[in-house]
Amino acid sequence: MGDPDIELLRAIAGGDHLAFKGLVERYQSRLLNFLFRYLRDRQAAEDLTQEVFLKVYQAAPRFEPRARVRTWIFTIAYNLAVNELRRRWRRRLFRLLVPEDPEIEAPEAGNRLELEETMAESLRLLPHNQRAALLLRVRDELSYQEIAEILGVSRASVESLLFRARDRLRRLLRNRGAR
Amino acid sequence: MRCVDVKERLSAYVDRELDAALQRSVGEHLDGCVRCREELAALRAIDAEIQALPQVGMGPEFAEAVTVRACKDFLARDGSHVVRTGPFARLENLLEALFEVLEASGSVRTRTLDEFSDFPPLSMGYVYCRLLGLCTGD
Repeated sequence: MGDPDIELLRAIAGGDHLAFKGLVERYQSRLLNFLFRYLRDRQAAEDLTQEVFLKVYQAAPRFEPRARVRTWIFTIAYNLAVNELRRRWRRRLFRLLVPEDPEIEAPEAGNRLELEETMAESLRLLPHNQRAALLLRVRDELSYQEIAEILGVSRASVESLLFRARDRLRRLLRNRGAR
Repeated sequence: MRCVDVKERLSAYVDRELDAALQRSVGEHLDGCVRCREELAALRAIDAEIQALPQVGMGPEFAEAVTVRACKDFLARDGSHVVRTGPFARLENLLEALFEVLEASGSVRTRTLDEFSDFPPLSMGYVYCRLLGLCTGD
């Protein structure tokens, strides 16, 4: 299995800045869109996209080509996104215990326009792992094996996640009158 | 194959991730079953809608900005950009990483603790950090 990004990563490990810039240009749009659809937050998606590349730069010398480079990059992105969701969950929990000024909640209201998008909203209602699997498959066209490596589950689990994700999405859309 | 068996496999069938024999069996069932074909069409329509969601994009300066920041961060951390080769490269990298961890454990703010900085004031997490001396209280 030839991986066209291996040479790019080797060059980055050797300090080639142009190679790094090339890798950023190659993956920035895919990562940003994956993180945006996964988190439903443009600013967080941009910040995390940047963080993914900084981690790639730091870890390039230690990369071992057991997995494809793109699988590795998406794994970093997925792990950062999961951490972000956990952080938000913790923050929400603490806000319940210690209420803050109402103005802190204001940014949430800015998402109303996005909520009008039925499909995007239905995607948001999927469990996190189902949403990630579906986005990686349908938007990024990754194989089940690659998705399994990224999510840290078996290939059979990916098959089940995708089946349940599509089934649930279909029912959600039907209930909303989109089907 | 029965419809119920096919339905469970339609998702993997759409993705062409079934083994060859199963892919063929599902295909043969679909040839003669209108209801399963409708299910298949519905699945494909959902995929098409997901693909059609609008793309978001970065500004043209993003790649340049990340490259500059990555280089700065790297130089700030390591002082010089040395790529080790040779038989002891792995051992040297391991020792360097070990010393980094030991140094970091002696400092007040480390990278892993950054995530605690967004605890709201007077929340349990914030108080816990203060008790441990991890938040500066600024």
